[in-house]
Amino acid sequence: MLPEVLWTTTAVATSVVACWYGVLAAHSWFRSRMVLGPLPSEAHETLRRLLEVSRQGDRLKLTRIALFYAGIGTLVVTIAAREWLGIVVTVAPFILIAWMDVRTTTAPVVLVMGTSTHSSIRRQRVIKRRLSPLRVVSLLDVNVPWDTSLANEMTLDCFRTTNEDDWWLVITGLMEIAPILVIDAAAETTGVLREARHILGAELWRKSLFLTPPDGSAPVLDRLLPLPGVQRQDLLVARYEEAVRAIATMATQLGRRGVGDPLRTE
Amino acid sequence: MQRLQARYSASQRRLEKEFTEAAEGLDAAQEAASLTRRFDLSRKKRVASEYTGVAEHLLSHYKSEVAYFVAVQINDHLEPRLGYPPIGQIMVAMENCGGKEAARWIACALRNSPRIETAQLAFGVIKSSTMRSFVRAELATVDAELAEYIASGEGVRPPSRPASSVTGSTAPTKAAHQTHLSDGIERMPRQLTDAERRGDRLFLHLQVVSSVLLLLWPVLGGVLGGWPGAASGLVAGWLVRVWMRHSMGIRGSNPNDGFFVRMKERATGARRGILEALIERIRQRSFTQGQCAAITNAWDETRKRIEAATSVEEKRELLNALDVEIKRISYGSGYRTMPEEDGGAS
Repeated sequence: MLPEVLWTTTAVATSVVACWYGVLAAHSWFRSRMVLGPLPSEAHETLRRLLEVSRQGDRLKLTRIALFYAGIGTLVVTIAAREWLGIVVTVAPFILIAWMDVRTTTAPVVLVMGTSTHSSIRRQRVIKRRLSPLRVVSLLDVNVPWDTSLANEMTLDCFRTTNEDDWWLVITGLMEIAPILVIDAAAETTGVLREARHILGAELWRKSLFLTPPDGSAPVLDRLLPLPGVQRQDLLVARYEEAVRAIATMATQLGRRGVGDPLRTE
Repeated sequence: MQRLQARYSASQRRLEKEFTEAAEGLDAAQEAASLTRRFDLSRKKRVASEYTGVAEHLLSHYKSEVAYFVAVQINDHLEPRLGYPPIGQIMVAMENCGGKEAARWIACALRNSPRIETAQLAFGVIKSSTMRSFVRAELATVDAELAEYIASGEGVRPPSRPASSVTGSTAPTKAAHQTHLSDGIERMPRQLTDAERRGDRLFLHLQVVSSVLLLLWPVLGGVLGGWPGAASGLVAGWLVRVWMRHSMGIRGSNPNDGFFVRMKERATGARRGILEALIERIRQRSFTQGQCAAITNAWDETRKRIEAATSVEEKRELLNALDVEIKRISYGSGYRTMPEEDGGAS
């Protein structure tokens, strides 16, 4: 009697979890596909590689291996017990692995760049929630010690690198893949300046949104512009409080226009 | 550290009490709203000079504790609109104002960080040595030991990389010229070979398997033989786990200390475990006795220097230097390896 109750309870619990994550994975995959269209397999491979050098890379690898062996272990127990409900339990870890793969290697729609302040990470969270299930990624340091819920929520979308030397390759790789780039034009750090210079120089400004504080000050643009072929009036600029709406509009347009086309907010 | 954190939290509670006593019915939120209007704070740029006026006003019109909590209210109210925490700029403006009142204000700010380590980092940002000694003296009046710990962030230099998504600099660093991603490991002298990657993957798999078996055996035992089977499975699973970990060269629960314990054993001629030998065979690179001795010496030397070090930053730098040295010994060209030098597995 007890084994039956145990098998049934475990099967019900794991099937609920598996269904939930399965639906999440499918939803995320279909939405991204609708907005971005079919992506070459190299893009997924690149994302996988970028993820490996990110701070959560090792943890994700360990989780994937642990889930795999949990699935294998459950299969062995199921066979030994000759209990068909065990198949349901066995499948669950593999569905979680599939969800992790979709969640972490689906191409991002938005790349956020700026300084790692609490407010900029919270801004990314607002954008992420608005665009969900589309991916909004960054290299911001999401490990805010006094706001662990924020850190936990953002960790799968954080590509911050373990090895600092990888930063430039990761950020430029993501700039190529993401169809919308969002950069804080008020964050006048050497890093953000370098990112902005690359955006302006590599003609990526057509898919970029420059954020400014309420007074419209953009020291990053003041330092870099004018450049040959790029005037300030050519750029999309939005204030912090308008950022989410502007990005949502850009993402909506993305589904309607070709990915490489210039974007304009209403 | 837990004891210090507890004392830090107690000091934080005292600060709140001091504020309540000093405020005498004054509403910090109302004061903050009034200062926001008066100094037009919602339009300030992210530079300290923009906040000089409000800093001077806070110092001249309120007691330090009250001035600090008014600034906290300003911060809470304006951060979402400005997109950055204005209290950081106010703190720099306070430092620029100078004087003991400003030091008291900064001391209040340092006492109200989420954790003591954060306060220590914030102390390291104070540039002026006079202000640092003022703030340290202020903190010492509250708790001398806390003051000593927080002020040990004195040696913290501005980060070589900005605190941004970038973390990089525009200077022509190695990153500027790097064309391939690294292995995602800090301070490595070279890229791993494919064989080394395979060996590392095997190590990870074996570690997970050793834990999974600890759960799997009792469950399997329970399914096949009831409670006695589960108990036997538990013992068997535990024994297998212990053997696997020992054979892989894992010692103790702390991987860092365990690594050095194992290096010491190998330096004195201990044979490799079966799984350890397998991993090293797949990596096509085994630790020689000379390498293990060099690593052990480096660790012993660093431990002595850490004990003598006074600041946390100094200790961190020593650990980083040790990390570089160990990776140089393990992967550098100066230490060639001979797969069978250690004489097979035990």
